[in-house]
Parts: sequence; structure tokens; C-alpha cells
Amino acid sequence: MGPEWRLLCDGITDPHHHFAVEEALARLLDEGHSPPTLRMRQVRRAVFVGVHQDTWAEVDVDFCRANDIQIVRRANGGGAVYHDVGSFCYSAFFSRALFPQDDAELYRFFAGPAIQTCADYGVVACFQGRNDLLVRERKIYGSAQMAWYEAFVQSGTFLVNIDFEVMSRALTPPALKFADKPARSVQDRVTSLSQEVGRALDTTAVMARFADHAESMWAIRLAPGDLTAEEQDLAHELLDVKYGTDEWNLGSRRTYRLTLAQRTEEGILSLSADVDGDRIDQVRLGGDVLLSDRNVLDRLEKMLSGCDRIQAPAIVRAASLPVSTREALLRLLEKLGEEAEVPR
Amino acid sequence: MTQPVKLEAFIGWPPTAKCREMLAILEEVVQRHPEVRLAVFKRGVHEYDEKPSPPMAKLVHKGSAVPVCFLDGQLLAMLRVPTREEVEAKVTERLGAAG
Repeated sequence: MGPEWRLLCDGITDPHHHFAVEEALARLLDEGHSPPTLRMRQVRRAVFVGVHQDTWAEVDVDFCRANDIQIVRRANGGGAVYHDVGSFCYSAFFSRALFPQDDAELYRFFAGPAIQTCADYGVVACFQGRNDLLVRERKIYGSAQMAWYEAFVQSGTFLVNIDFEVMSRALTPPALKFADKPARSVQDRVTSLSQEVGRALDTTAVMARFADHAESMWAIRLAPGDLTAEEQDLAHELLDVKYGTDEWNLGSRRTYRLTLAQRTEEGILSLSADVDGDRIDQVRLGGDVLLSDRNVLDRLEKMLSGCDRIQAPAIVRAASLPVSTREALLRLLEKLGEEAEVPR
Repeated sequence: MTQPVKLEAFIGWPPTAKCREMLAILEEVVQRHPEVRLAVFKRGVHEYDEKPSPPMAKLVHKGSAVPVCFLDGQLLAMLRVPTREEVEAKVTERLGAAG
């Protein structure tokens, strides 16, 4: 029989409070005040944004606000996911020293119960890439890790029943994300267990199966428990200063003006643009570049102003420009993209 | 003339007691060595006054570990608070090499 872990099903469905609890558990486990824990949870309609993501680029904030979909930034990395009570997440909180596997192996190890749960319903799920489970090329489970001093958190999201229409409206991932994949939209890329079996499923029953498999596959013994007073207090504190604030969840739109220049055979070409997240605006092409038809640049300025950074190279490639100037402009757009990734 | 040396710390936000302990150690070392600068980056906070070094930028934008400390882009400590002696020794060594 393996070591005892707390099985925590605290019933917190508010997404902001939920993530405040997650961080409180990581912090207190590191300090030796919380035991190893498997937390299973369902939350109300929400989009969870990865800690490193730009909320404004990944989420249709206006749609979410209009439809009472909460937006919350997680403490861990990974991509934005839409979530509602039809699905569930788990987080395993433990001391890193408990498992000898490296981080990549841990992703596979902790996906085991999800694979087995799918199998219980006659669905074959396969591990793909670094941290996903796919069924027929569609994602059904995703996971993330966070190392916090001596504590380690392995989390996963398992799609059981999901409203795909709302999901595809709420998430707005950059087109680049699908560039190397057969799928062209969120809806093409994800599935749910209920969709695979062709009927609605009781999410709590699926959660129970997952927990059973976790106990045997992770070689632990789960003992139901509750949040301690210290965990609740710290979670409320983190909710107040972090997870309940727009500053944390939405961040600020990155707006700034950049001017970059590049030498070409026709002279120096400069590009000035306002950058607002992935959108470029107020584009000005200048420098001392000598072109027989300056109108080409004027037209390009108009076409590039207001377009998405990802679409801009295609517009430039289609323009009637000398090769050297075209290449220089493409390089400037590339630089603009690189600069946009650097924090302001 | 000695070259400026840069310490970078990546901590949780809001900082934990251990994060504060690490910052106190780093600040103390910086106070003893005017050639050393300290830049602090907080997990999940992507707006900074100063550009991070390449390894710190990678951590800030993709990393999953807290805390981490770099000295001129070289790893000094990860997932633990370095000791005062350890930081002092590394900084002194680096200042010697840079000078």
C-alpha cells in the first residue's frame, strides 16, 4: 500500500477562488503545512488562460463578459482552455522528491488514469506531444506542471461534456497555433468523452473512475479530506490580491509604437507601427528608399494598418515591390513580431 | 574598470517568505558591490522596466519553476534560496573575471 494522500473535493466552483486555492496549496505544501493532495474540481463556465499567455490575444474578452464566462489566469503554463461543470480538472500536489521520473516522464505518468478512464468507456486515447491526450487526432485531455520551491503541481483538464459552440466563441487562438496541424479551429481540434461515446455522461461518475485509477496507477492511498483553515485563509488572501483582479487575469493590452529600419538595394526602409497585442496599426513606411512608384508604399501602409501581425507578410508578398525591398519589409515585420514578444 | 555584473531573480507573486528571504540576500550582496545590479522578475507579471537576459526571458515567458536566480545569464540557484556565502562567492568570482 502506497503513501496516503488527501483526496480534496472542496466543491468550489468559482473559477477565481478555485485558482486561489490551487496556489495556496502549492505554497503551503512547500512550507510543510499541507499534505500531498489530489484535488478534483469542477468550475462554472470559465476560460483558464496560461500564466504566460496574453489574455487579449487568446480570449474573446467581450464575448466572455457578455455571456457571464469568467476569465482567470492560472498559475501554471500551457494554453487557454474553456471549462464548465461538464468537465473536470485535477491537480496533484506533492513533493518533487516523491517521484524519480523527470518532468517529461511525469506528464505521461500522470496521464495514465485519464487513458484508463477513457478505456473504461471504450475510447482509445493516446499520449501526444509533451502533455496532451488525443482521441482520433482530437484533444481530450491537456496538462501542465508547476515547480514551486520544493512543491510540485501536476494538473490536467479532462473534457467529459463540453459546449463546443461556446468554447469556439470564447477562445481566439492565433492562427499560427494551427499552422502545423490538420485542424483549423478549436472545435476541429478538441473532443470530449461524451462526444466519443455518443451520449451525455455523468461527470461525477467519470471523476470517481479517474480517482480510482489514480490511486492504483500512482501507487497512493486516497483519504477524503477538507481544506484547512490556513489553506482557506491564504486562498482568500490570494483571491483578493491576485486571482480576483483584472490586473492579473486580463493584464493590459500591450500598446506601443515601434520604428525599425532595414537597408535595401534601393536605400533604407523604415517601418513605424502601433502594436496592440497581435494587431498592427497606423503603419508608416519611410526612409530614403527610392522606388519608381511611391504609391506602392502608400497602398501598403493602408493595407497593413489594422491587420493582424500574422496576416501582414502575405500582404507584403502580394505587393508589387523590388525583391530587395520586399525582403527587407518582411524582415522588418519579423523584427516587429520579435519585439512584440519582449515585455514592455 | 570593472564591467557591471547583473543578478536576476525570478520569484512568485505575491512573494512568499522564501522569495523575500532570497531578495534580502541578493540585495545585501548588491549593497556590498556597487558594480552589481539586481533585476527582479515576478512569475505571471510580464511588464518590466528592464529587458531580461535570454535565459531569464525564456523562464519568464515559458518556465514552470519558481524561484530561479541568474548571475550574468548563468544559473546560480533554482527551486531553492541560495545562501549568502554562495551568492557572495559567485559574485566575487564573476567580478574578478569581469575586471
